[in-house]
Amino acid sequence: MSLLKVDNLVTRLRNGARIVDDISFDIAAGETFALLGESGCGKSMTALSLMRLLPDGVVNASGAVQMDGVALFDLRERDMREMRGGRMAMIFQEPGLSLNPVMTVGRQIAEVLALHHDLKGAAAQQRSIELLDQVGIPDAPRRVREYPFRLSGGMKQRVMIAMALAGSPRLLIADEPTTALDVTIQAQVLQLLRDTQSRTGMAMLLITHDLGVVAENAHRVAVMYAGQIVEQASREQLFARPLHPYTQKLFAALPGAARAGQLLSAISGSVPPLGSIKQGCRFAARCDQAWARCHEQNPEWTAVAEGQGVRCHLYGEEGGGGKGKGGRGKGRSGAAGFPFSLISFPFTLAGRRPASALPDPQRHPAACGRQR
Amino acid sequence: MSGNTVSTYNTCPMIAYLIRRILYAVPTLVGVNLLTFALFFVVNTPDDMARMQLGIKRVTPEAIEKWKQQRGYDKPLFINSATGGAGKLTDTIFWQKSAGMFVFDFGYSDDGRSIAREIATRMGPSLAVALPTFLIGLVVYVSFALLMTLFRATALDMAGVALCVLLMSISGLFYIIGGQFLVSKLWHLVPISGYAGGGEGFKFVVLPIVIGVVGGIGSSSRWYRTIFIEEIGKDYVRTARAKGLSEPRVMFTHVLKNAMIPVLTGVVVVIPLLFMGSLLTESFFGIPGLGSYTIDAINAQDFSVVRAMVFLGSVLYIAGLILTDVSYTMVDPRVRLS
Repeated sequence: MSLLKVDNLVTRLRNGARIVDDISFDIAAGETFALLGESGCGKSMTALSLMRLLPDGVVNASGAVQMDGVALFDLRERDMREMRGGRMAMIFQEPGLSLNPVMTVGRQIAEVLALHHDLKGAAAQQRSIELLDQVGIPDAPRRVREYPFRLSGGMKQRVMIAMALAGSPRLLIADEPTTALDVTIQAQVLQLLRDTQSRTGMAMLLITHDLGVVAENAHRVAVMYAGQIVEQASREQLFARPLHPYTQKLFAALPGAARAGQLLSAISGSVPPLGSIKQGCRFAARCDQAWARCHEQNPEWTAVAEGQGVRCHLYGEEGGGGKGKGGRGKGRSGAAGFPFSLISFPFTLAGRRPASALPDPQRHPAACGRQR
Repeated sequence: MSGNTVSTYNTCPMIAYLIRRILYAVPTLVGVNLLTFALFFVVNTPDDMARMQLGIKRVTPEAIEKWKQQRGYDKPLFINSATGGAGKLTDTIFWQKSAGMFVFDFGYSDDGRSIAREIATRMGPSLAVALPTFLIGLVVYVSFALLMTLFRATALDMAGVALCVLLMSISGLFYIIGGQFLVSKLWHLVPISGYAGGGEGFKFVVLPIVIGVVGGIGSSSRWYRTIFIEEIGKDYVRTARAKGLSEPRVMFTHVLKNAMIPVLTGVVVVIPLLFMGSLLTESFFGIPGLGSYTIDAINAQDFSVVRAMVFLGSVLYIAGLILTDVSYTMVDPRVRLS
């Protein structure tokens, strides 16, 4: 049975624009599920919806979330607080901003211990030191009394992880945990997350825009585009045979040794503004395999193989079968990402260098250029 | 700023910092003194002062000379060319009236009373009004701002902000006069003005305190609300919520301590100035404090008192600024004075 089950989650702004649109997935205990997508596609909002911590002006409109058999959206706020930090914990993108600057590391961890384990005073202090030790912070007995500004970015993220682990969560939501860190530290933090997971058996929802991170950490992956999950597959399936044209283009955009000296390919066009697409596929305007139907009808979810599904007319029964002749043909020839994925798969899995496949325009204006 | 002093005083950089700040205060005070002196005597001559004090009509030149001589205004303002050596500078009104203040010898007012003694006796009434106004005000403003923040973006918050803007838009004088009219004249709850020491004085100070607090609600609460709302949008607040803390706990243990940093800037600096009282409130309510003392001195063209009060105010203000710096080190672990 799955630990977390999300059904048809819809999150929207007060003005009605859907920033998370009809998302369903589930995560089993001990599993890492990656939510992959570029910035603004709704992956963080999905995570915050699960925690019921949406910012002002954003609301959960419909859908259901089951955590350990408990329907989160039916809980009273007081019971939801028991879940937050207890059964489900969350770490964030900017460790530098996510810790309270005027509170010692130890006190910030002890707060969780007091809330969820009723641990106070010396016992809490002792446990905080243990936790810091576990996440690989050297000289933990001294660090526990220090303020966050004395720690480096990687150390701060380790503190965040220690804080999340303090409640012994069954699910850890990691929202771009390594994006703000430099590459060597990224690898260490991801390693730490993997080790922690194998030790505690917790499930992890890993939110990222980095195919390299997915390749090294995830068991299963959902690709998000403009608020929807457009493809969901096991890591092996996704890297062996990406189905959705968007996923294929992501792989095509990866730099790789075999393509040294060539221009990096980019996906033309830009993400449609929130709520601008009323009908049809949200990727249609940027998709070179789109035909008339893609602009008219919102594609339904299609299960293609065991554990792999896609939201695309190319694979729909009607679209893929007899009717959409051009579409089907195009679909086959247009599996442009396929040969590339064979190249990039070993490259990313080897993990020598996590490749930022999705340049995040706000954070890395020159991300493409930076990667070799 | 650090550099050389740190190496000299590295045992305690905080003390070194304080000593340096106090030394910086000396030239500031000389400048303040010079400016007060210049401004005062641009619009007045010692003759004007004498005539004013003695009564405008039928003042003989001899009486004026005698008045000036008794109070030391018969000397040149800045430079005495009649004498030689150091006397050129020291045997002047400026030197005679200013030098003593740097050792806190305030001299005598024009009616012959010791200014130091006046300050000592008037500080009590000033504090009796200013201190409660400050403390109650702080609690009220911060609570009101917190309330608006907890209910942010709701009708309650909107109404609060609208009320703040309304209160801000009304002149302070209106609160005083309106308050006196309503509470004292119509309802006869407290006397319109006056003062008495001890428990008896309560009925005299309660109205000025209430009016002082009400008059500040608009601007202060709105300002604190802005600070709190900015703080509550920060990432660490989300982390605190993700731990499962309740919203009041998030507010009081996380947001408030961080928000104190900007709040302190405006608050700590005025603490020493509380001793000076309030010019307006004391004058309108007949409180015999330092504020009304200053106003009376200005009206009477009593330079000795004016320059003493300006000097005292400057000293207290500088003390407030230093105090602000020190208080930063207490609330923000990232700040170190050196």
